Amino acid sequence: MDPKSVQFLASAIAIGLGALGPGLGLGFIGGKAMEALGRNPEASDKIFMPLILTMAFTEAIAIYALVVALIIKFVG
Amino acid sequence: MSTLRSPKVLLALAIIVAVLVILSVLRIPKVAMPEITIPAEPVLELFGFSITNTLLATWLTMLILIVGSWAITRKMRLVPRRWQSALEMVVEALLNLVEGAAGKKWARRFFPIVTTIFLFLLVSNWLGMLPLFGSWGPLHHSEEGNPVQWVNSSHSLGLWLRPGTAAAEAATGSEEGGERYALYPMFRSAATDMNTTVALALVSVALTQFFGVKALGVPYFGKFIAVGRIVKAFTKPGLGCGGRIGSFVIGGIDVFVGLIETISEFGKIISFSFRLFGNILAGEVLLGVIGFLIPYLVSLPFYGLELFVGFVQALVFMMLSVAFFVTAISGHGSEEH
Repeated sequence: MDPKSVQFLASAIAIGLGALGPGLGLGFIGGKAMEALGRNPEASDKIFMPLILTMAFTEAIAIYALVVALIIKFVG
Repeated sequence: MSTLRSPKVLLALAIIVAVLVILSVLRIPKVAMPEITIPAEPVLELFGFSITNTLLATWLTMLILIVGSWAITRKMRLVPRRWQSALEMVVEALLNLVEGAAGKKWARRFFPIVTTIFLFLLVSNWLGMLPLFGSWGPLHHSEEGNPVQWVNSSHSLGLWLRPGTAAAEAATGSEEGGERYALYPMFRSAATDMNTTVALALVSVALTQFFGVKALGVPYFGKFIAVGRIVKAFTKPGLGCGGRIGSFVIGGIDVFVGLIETISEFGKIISFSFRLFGNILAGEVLLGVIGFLIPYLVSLPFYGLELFVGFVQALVFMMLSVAFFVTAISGHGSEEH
C-alpha cells in the first residue's frame, strides 16, 4: 500500500476508534444527569454547571483523537 | 403560528430560495477547499519579525477588550445604562461562579486572572466566526495551489477559485501553464495556534503552583515529594517496630502517588492546550469543509454549534483553572496527625 492511502486510512481509524470511548462516556453522563433531573426537577440549576463541565472534559478525549487524525492527514 | 405565515417572513423566505436557485443555475464560481494548516501562516513583515495571522487576531482581540472596557467604564453611573449594565452582569455572574467554587476570600485573588482568560478566549473564539477571518489574505505562488481569477489588470486583487470548475478553466486558459496560488488568510482564530493555547495552559498551571505556595508555603511541594511518612518511619520516637514498618510501606505508596501527581501536572498543561486547540481548530475545519461541500445555508447549524463551542471552551478553561487553584490551596486531605 502506498503511503498516501495508508495516511487516509490511518486518519480515518484514528478518529473513528477514538470517538468510541468518549461517545459512550458522554452518553453515560447525560443519562445520569437526566436520571438526577427526573428525581429532582428543581435541582436543574445545580446540575447544569457540573454537567457541562464533565461533558467538556469527556469531549476533550475525542478532540485529542481528532487532532491526531488531522495531523496525520494534513502534515507529511 | 400566524407570525410564521406573515407576509414579511414569507417574503424573506422567497428571496432566500430565489437567490439559491439563481446562484446554482448561473454556476457562480464555487467555493474552494480551504487549506488546512496546523501551524499559523506568516502574513506580514514588521521590523524583521514575521507576523502570523493568529497574532493579528490576538491583537484584534486585545484591542476590542481594552478599548471596550475603557470606553464602558469611562463615565460610570450609580444607575448604569446599557453597556455598563451588560458588563456588570457579566462580571457579577463570573464572580458568583468563582465564589461558588473558591469561597469569598480566595475568589477575589483568583478572579482577575481567570476572568481575563475567560474574556480573552470568549472574544477570540467568537471573533473567529466573523466573515473577516479565514477568507481573504495574501496569495503566494505554490505548486499545489488553486487558480486565481484576477479582478484588475495589474494582478493585485483576485478571486481564489476551486480548480476544475468552468471559471477556473477560463482563468488559467489551460490545464497546465496557469499560475497556481495558495491563500494565506489574513486573520485566523487565535486559539487555533498552539502557541496561544500552550501559553495559556502554562500560565494556568504555573499559577496553581504559585497559589499553592501562597496558601501553604513551601510544604505545598510536599504533595509531589511525599517523603513525610518514610521520614516518620525512621525518626519518630516511641513508634514500635510494627508501626515503623507500616509507616514505611504507606510512605512508599505516598512517594508513588507524589510521582503520579507530578506527571499529572504536566498532563494538565497538555490537556488544557489540546482541548482548546482541538475544539477551535476542528470547528474551523468543519465550517470550511461544510462551506466547501454545500456553500449556502447548511453551514448555519454548524455556525451555531461553533458559537456554543467557543463559549463552552472559554468557560471550561476558566472553571478548570479555578478548580485546580482550589485544589492547590486546600492541600492534602490526608495528612498524618
